[in-house]
Amino acid sequence: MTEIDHYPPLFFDELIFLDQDFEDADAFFEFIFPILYRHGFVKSTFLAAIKAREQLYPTALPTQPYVVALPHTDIEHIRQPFISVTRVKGSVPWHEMANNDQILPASFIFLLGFMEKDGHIVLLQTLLSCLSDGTFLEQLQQAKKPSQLMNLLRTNVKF
Amino acid sequence: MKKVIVACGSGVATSQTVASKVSRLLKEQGISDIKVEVIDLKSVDTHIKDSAAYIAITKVDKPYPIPVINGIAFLTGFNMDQELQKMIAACR
Repeated sequence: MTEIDHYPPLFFDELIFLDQDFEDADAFFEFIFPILYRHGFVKSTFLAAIKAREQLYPTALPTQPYVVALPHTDIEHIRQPFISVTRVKGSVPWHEMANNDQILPASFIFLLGFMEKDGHIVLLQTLLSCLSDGTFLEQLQQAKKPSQLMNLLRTNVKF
Repeated sequence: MKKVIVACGSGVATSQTVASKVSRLLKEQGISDIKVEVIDLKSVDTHIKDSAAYIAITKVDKPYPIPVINGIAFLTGFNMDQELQKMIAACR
């Protein structure tokens, strides 16, 4: 109700991607980095930083019925806060959070770009509770167009 | 007041989210004598001494003298109650 005033909008039409095909996490980062950089969301240091961070602390969550990866990196590589959402064609192998040896088939990649510590907790909590809801994930999976996905995000991930 | 620590790689997203979720769950259960503190991954060893449990969001490679709680459960909702009870038990 009031929280919404505290945050800039975080979902952007140009950062929603449907049915992209990736061999692995690095391929995804190489795909998305030029887009984020061109639109001014990240600094040039972002690509190396996110790859390194993901290797050290992988981010695939065993949500059901679809696995979601939540890559993010340190705040100094971000220029403007964003959440980019990619639905993968099939799935992309992604190392599980807290269990680096396990590889999960990620169907969605929610790339988080935040600028301040503690700044987006309410939003993240809402996002996580949406992502642990199988019905919501199924709706994301069924969306035909990026605009439908965007509507689902805007109506459900309210903060 | 017992202290429970949460740590993740950057401290910017997941650890904060888990800490705030756990605090809310404790409040809902009427438990007010447990403090959930977000710490830097590098300082886990320093905090272990005066903490009752460690909620881990990264891989735990070595044994700790206090119970290690699966922080991912609070992100996905699966086994969340079980992990919460384990944590509360560790604080008693």
